[in-house]
Amino acid sequence: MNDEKVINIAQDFSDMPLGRDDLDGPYNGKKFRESLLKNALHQYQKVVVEMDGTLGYGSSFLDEAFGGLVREDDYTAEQLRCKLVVKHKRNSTVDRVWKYIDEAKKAR
Amino acid sequence: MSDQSSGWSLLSPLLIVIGWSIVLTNASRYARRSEIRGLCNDVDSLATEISAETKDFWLKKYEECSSSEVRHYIYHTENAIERLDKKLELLQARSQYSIGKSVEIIEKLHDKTTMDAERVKELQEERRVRVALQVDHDVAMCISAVEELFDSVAGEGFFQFAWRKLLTKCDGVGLCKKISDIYKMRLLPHLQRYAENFSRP
Repeated sequence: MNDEKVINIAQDFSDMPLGRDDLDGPYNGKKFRESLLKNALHQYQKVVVEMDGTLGYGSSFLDEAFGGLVREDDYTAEQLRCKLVVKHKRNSTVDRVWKYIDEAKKAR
Repeated sequence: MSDQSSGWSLLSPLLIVIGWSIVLTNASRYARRSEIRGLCNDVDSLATEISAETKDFWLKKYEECSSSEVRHYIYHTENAIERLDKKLELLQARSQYSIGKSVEIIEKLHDKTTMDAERVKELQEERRVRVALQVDHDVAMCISAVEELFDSVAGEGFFQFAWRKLLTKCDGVGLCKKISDIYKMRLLPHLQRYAENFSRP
């Protein structure tokens, strides 16, 4: 297994991520999770998601992209805490990501 | 006699320095207070704007909104909340008081204003009303927390302000360490020697 993968959402995906799935728009949370995040988590020991550079993040995108890992892809919040590093200039965005992961854990 | 007169001649410049330092400290206390009031007003108007736009979107405009208008609402609101977050951060740094619930409030606002906004037309009225009311409630919490902070700042007396300023300038912990170092290195050996001499028969 490789060491580390850095995903920059603005560069590797879109600077206007929005919504849960294709009904909401082309750059949605489900697409991000399935096309980039899930593969990276599968192939690398550590995945760093850099979130700066976009126009913003709607809650639905974050919930689907990160909370979906627990709801749909059978990751646990503890596994994600070991493997996933989320970076953003504002702590509130990083906190939101972990909140959605933790809430998805409770809902499961 | 000459000693007494030199003492008097030293006293007047000393009084002038003390007088000026009181005047300057008081001026800086008022400047800080009005700066913090300005930041509180900014927070107030930003938070009210977020609440009004959320209410507008979730209760009034949702039916006529095109997908690009929804997208605009989401990014615009997200950025407004980020600005609010920054203002709260600045307010805490300038006032040196903390707003205990600010992180929680910002997180809730981010969460509630935009969660499932893309599908607003499909949501039941009860859910839409709930979003608008919850955001209104969080905004009220935010404004009252900020006003409480201003109340603490405004109630700060001259001496409290001067002491806080002195501690910030001197770095309180560093000052205590310096005093304790001086005591240990310079004063303690003398005291010990004095005690030894005193105890000798």
